[in-house]
Amino acid sequence: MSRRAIIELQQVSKRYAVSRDTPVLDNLSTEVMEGEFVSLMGPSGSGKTTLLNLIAGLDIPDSGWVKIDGTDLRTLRDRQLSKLRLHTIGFVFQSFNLLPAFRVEENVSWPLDLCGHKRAEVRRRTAEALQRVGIVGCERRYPAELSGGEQQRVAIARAIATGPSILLADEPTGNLDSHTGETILDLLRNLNDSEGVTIVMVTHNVFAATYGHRTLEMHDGKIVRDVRAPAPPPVSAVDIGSR
Amino acid sequence: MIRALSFKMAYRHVRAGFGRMALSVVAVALGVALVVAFQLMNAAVLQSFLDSVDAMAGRAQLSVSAGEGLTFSEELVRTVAAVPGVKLAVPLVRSVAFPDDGSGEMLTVQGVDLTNEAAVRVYHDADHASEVIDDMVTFLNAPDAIVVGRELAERRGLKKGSKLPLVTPSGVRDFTIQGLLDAQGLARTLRGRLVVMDLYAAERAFTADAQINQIDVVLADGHDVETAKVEIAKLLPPALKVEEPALRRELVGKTVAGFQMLLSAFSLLAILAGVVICYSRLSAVFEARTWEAGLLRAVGMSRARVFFELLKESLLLGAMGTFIGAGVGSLIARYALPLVADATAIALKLPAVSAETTPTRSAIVLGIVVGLLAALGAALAPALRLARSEPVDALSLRGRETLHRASGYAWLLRLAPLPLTAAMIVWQQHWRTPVIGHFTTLLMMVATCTMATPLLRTAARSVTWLVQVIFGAPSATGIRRLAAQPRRAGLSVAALGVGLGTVFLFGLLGWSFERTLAARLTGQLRSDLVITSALNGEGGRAASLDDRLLAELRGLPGVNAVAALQQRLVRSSYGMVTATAYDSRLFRDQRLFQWRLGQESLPDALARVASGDALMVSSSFAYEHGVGPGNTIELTAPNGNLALPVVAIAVDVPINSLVISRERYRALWNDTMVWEIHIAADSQNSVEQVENTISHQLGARLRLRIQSTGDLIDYYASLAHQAFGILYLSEALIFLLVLVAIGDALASSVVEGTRQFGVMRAVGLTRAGLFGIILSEGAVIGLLGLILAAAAGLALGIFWVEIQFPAILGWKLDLHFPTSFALGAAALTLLLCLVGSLLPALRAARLSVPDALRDE
Repeated sequence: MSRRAIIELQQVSKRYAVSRDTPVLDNLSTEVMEGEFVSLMGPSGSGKTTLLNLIAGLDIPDSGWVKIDGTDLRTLRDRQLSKLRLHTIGFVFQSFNLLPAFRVEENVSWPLDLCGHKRAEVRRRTAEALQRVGIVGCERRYPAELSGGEQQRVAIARAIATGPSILLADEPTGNLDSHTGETILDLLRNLNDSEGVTIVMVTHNVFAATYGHRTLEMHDGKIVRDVRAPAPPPVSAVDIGSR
Repeated sequence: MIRALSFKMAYRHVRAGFGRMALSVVAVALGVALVVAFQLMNAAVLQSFLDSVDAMAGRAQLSVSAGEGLTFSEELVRTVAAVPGVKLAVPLVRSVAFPDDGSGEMLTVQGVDLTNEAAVRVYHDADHASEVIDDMVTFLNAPDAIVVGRELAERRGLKKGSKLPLVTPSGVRDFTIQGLLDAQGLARTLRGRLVVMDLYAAERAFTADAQINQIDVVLADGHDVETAKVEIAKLLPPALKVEEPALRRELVGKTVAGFQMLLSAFSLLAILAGVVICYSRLSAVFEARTWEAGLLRAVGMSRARVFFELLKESLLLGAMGTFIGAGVGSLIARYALPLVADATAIALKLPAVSAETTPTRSAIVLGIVVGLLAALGAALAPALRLARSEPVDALSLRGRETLHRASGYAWLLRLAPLPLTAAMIVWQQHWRTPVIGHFTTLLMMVATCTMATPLLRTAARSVTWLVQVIFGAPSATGIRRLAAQPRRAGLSVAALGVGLGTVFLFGLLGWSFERTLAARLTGQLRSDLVITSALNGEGGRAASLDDRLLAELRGLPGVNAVAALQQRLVRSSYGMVTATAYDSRLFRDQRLFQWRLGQESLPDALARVASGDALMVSSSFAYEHGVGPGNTIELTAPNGNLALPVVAIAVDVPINSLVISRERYRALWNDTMVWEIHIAADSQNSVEQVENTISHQLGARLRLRIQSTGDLIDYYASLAHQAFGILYLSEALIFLLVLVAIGDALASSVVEGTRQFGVMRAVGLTRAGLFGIILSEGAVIGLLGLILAAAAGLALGIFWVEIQFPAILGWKLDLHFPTSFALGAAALTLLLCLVGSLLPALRAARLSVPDALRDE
């Protein structure tokens, strides 16, 4: 069965005011298929995070265009872009970025509140998302009371709670030890395998990159290598809970 | 040791983060400004009143008088002069007059025997009266000859030979200036508003032939003042008193001190509001530096050192605030001094004085001490909290509010001020000690602060879901964000609660004062017209009129009933007290007056008071002295002593006073003057006609003010409003500061939450949603602050109106809630909270999400 492109970038360029001479993204074109797990690698400053921001509609390209599920982001207003992020794109950050003053369950439930779900539905989906990432019994805790790995799982639960088809992960294991990092990678891989969530993951870690079906290597704002590799065997949810 | 005392590190931190700490400086500055201003103004006003007493007394060691303005025969001078040790007995006529130009400028008239140079030298520095007056013989032969202060003459462009028409109690009379007094002694204190005349001319113009109202006594060198006082007292008729001007000085000092204590208490409330705002700001600033404190601890700095470094920062901020506050306070004192001087004169019925401020060391030192202590006090808890944080936690939390769970002990501490406050209120109700009342006020403020966080939590628990249903998820997220930072948000609510609570207290107190006066007069006055002098005498009160005017009024067409009242200080078994003497008709004729008597009053009370056999007391008098029906009050009058039983409490008499019959008063005190005349017209239709007739036939000659009862009540209410003028100024300053504090707290919250907002936007929150979060935070802080302020203001207001105000000034007030003011202030606060959150909300909504996500 042929899969369609869910993320498309065509001749995208981006420069920042502080470095007008050097483009952060230079005429970059690529596409990501639905259900694909793409690892984005490259040295610092190569444009990985900027690319992620453009895909999420957080930033706009100076030239070229970005399409998500066939929709050109240039045609969307701020409200529509927010709606797209809320329903279609989940975001996972290197430093977790949980709201420190909110409890675990509130961190996961507030995007659902934004969707306008009823209270019971919010509670159900929150519990389900936390269960999917293996966080049970910590719902009333604050982020500062959790380990790094637990915080990242909560962040993933927040990202998937609204049922997005795309998950953007910006160095999700960068702040974690190798063992915890593996757990998170397994979790992402499981989401990709079992639920078909398209994942674009920025990483510096070669081992982490092997979790993807495809690795894009960037340098000076350009994709210099596009490698498709056989994926490692899928990891079951039971395995994740046991780690 | 030297390093420990160094302010280098503290200075660097203050310099680097001054923008975030500036509000603390402003809060301290405002508190210090009000403390310094009130201190300077109080000192200046008190000094002016004392100077006035000194100047009035001149070099006399004793003074004989019958009380405020009352007259007696000059025959008594010889009796006093014959007492062993008396070197000189100086007969005097003292009165007030007004230039007949509508300016209302009150002049003090001093009638002294100008042929007696020794007598003149008692008050004026000139060796001979002839130095001031060119032709003494002509002067003495001219009953219209006067000497005035040079300052007055220069202000009005008058010189020797100029005519000066003056309004006297018996009408307008022309006087001729025949001398000018330089700015020395009494002329200096009164800013030239002094008219000196020969004794006999003064008697004819202001009292009656051979009637004087004071004898000043100079003793022979080395003669004991107390012995002479006793000897003179033995020879005086009962109502006349002999007293040392020094004691009068003490009395004025004591009287003024009560009112000034009230003003000082208000300035201390302002500093308290400043401390809460400062505490709130420093808590946020120090909390944001938790990471830095962790780093310092990690590299080896001790807890104590971190704590003291933070205190040093607060000391620097306090020093800046104090420096600014002292300057601003001096400026406020300079420009608001006439307001306070007038307010004091009106409140205490003292003659208005001109006061000048000179920065005094004690006021500045007090300002410095209060400012530094306020800054230190505000910083103590946040600094201790930060110094005690564990380095690992501090490094990982990076400025986020430290998680803590309230223990039972913490709840106990939070609740402790409530029963303590209740106990203090009960204590104060019984003992009425002003200082205890101030302490109780402080405790009530502390209780208000401790209630802020529980109120926030309760509100968040109760209404978040409702807000989400009505206003949507972003607004509910705003409330959750506030509830999740209970200390920080609670402090903003507390600052608003205490600050606005103080504003509500001032409003409630001022309004209760005004309305008590108006309500009691409204309940009492039934006459169609009220006539007073158009000129104001001491304390802004209308000057007295001769009671011969009553007969003239009775003869006018359309006038049905005429009766008058007079008010004077008299000597009683409770010391000097105010007596209000009403014509007996005022007790009987309900077209003129309506009396509301206390429950325990005797059934024939009004008839007995009207006949002069008994008296009533006002509710304030009853409250202050614990007097009621069944008690007897002894009165000392020039024509005999009398003991009158108290038969009723007159509820609607607005001041602290005895109520007696004027017929009895006139006979015993020789006072033929009246203060207010009440008139009932033949019919309602003829009121205007009667007013016109009085105005045309008597008004111009006697400079009368003819008003309806409603106008009179409005006039008194405006005087009360004027007396509280300085309070309204403080109120406005505190209100402004509180609103700036809320705007600042919201702006800081946005700056500190930049990264969080970036995350929210990345997850799918719209700009409008983020805008709504900040706006709802502002609205919730405003709303909860208002609830707390309303509760605190009401509790404080009731305490002050019912207990503390009577304890300080002896005036019993009724509680009147300033609904329009409170609603207006509440609406303005909410509006300004929303406006104050607009800028932070706009900033948040415009954040570049990638930049926000990179924010540390």
